[in-house]
Amino acid sequence: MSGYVAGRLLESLIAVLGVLTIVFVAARLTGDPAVLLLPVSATDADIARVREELGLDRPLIEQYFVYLADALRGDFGISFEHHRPAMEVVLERLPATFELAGAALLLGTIVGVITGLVAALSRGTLLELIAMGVALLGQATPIFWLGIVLILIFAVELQWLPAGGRGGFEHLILPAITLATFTTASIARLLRSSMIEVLKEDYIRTAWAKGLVPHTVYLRHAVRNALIPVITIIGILAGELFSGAVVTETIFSWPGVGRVIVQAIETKDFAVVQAGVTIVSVIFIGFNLLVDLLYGLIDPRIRIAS
Amino acid sequence: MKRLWRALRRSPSGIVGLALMTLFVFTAIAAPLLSPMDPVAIDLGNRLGAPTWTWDGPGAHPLGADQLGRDILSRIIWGSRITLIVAATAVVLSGILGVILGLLAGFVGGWTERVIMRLADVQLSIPLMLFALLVIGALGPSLFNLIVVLALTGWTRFARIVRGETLSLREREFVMSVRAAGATGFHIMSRHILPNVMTATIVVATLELARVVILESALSFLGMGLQPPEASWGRMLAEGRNYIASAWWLATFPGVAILLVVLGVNLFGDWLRDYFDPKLQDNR
Repeated sequence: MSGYVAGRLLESLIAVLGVLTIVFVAARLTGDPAVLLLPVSATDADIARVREELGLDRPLIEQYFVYLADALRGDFGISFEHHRPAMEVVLERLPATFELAGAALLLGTIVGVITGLVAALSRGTLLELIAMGVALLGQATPIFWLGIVLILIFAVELQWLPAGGRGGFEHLILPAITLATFTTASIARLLRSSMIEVLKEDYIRTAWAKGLVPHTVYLRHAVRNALIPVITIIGILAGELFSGAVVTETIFSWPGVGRVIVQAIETKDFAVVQAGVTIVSVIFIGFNLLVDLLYGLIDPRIRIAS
Repeated sequence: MKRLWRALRRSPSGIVGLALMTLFVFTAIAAPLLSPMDPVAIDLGNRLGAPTWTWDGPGAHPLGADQLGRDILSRIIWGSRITLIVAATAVVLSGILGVILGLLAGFVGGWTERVIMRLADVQLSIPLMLFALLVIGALGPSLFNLIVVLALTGWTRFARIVRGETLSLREREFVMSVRAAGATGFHIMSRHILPNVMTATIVVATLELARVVILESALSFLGMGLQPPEASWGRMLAEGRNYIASAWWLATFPGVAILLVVLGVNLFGDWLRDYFDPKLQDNR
């Protein structure tokens, strides 16, 4: 087990280094930061002076290591727009994104598991058809469109809920539903097929033969095993959640990291873009590491295989 | 092919998927013939004109007009071209890149494999949308950059599947025998392994198409895609969002178009996957 943990830990570190490298390359593709910083009227001498100050006259490899050292200390430069360290701008938006993504993950898991189970246990009925039809639609719905439709119905027409912004619980409802749709649909579809597979297993037949009541067979024996594949995709779904959060935050004016990144691209405030992408990716990597370690604990086959 | 068709006829969801996909491709190709009006013709007299069949009608536009009086139906029809071109090009490019890297990783092994697969892991460590924003932020929004980004985000899925298939094919007798006959690595990969991984590649490509359509429209929605006045579904949605209270049709219909295309591709892709190899299920 310790070998498995060490291996995964090393992989995660390499991934973080890789992310930092990609961000560095993207930063260099952006163009000369000295030119971006200075007004159009700047002379060549001005540009040369700023390049020297920023260390851009040194060899690329040296710049890379200086960048890495800075990045590891959380220093991604100053935001032109906010006149503060870019990392600070991103970090203060994190709680909002966590609130939204957490609510969506919770909602998606609960509704997805219930839908998947209902579908698996009512095979061949109209109920299964409806549940899976809705799940299929959920997987195909562009969430930015769903968000707009929800605003139209519940904020504009019915005026039950606010159309955007962050505040009390009522502000969270529409964005959370929007962001949770894909998660819900994916979990529902996967759990249904995995439950159907599990119900064919010998140990389930044994459980029935022992005369156990349906309640025990389904909840104690079947669901527990059917949930294992679901746990493995939680990591993938987290990535979808972070991606979806960018869009959801934009629609609902939710003051999270995704929105600040989109705004930073519009204002060419690249330090914030780089800090934001790095932070979200590092959290994503950490989350996947956690899921894999948990998975190792839940499923002994993983522990032994390693 | 005949067997494929017979199997498809037994699957209602596969049929629906294929029908939706065909409709989409047909619309894109025949856009000039189908489109009732010029998609970029501005008619301020008809600003935010309601769809013909609503209570607010009767207007001249079947699905209403947008904030500049442009016909929404025509814009959706022409928009299908952009969606198809961008998505198909991106999937083909990422497919080529992914298949080559997957073949190399699986066949050559060793350091080549480790580097390629590690690269895929790193790429997957950045949530797709953020990776796309990072690259578009650096290169600037344009049709070309959009395709590049979408192609870059997709190659990992191809590479992983192809590598897995190659690993098992490499040890099969027919590969062993051509290798013993003195065939070069390139010859074995291109003549003997590549044809055998095509099925898996096509299945992945279909499922990728759905993901790319969504991602493309999401990026266009955020203003990182094609620039106006060209009609792109995501862009139309973004513009329609500002008129949501007064003219719901602006944002609603492009969204329905995206939904139908993605639904169709997903249905057909799922069926194709189950038909060829249920093992390919990548748990989505």
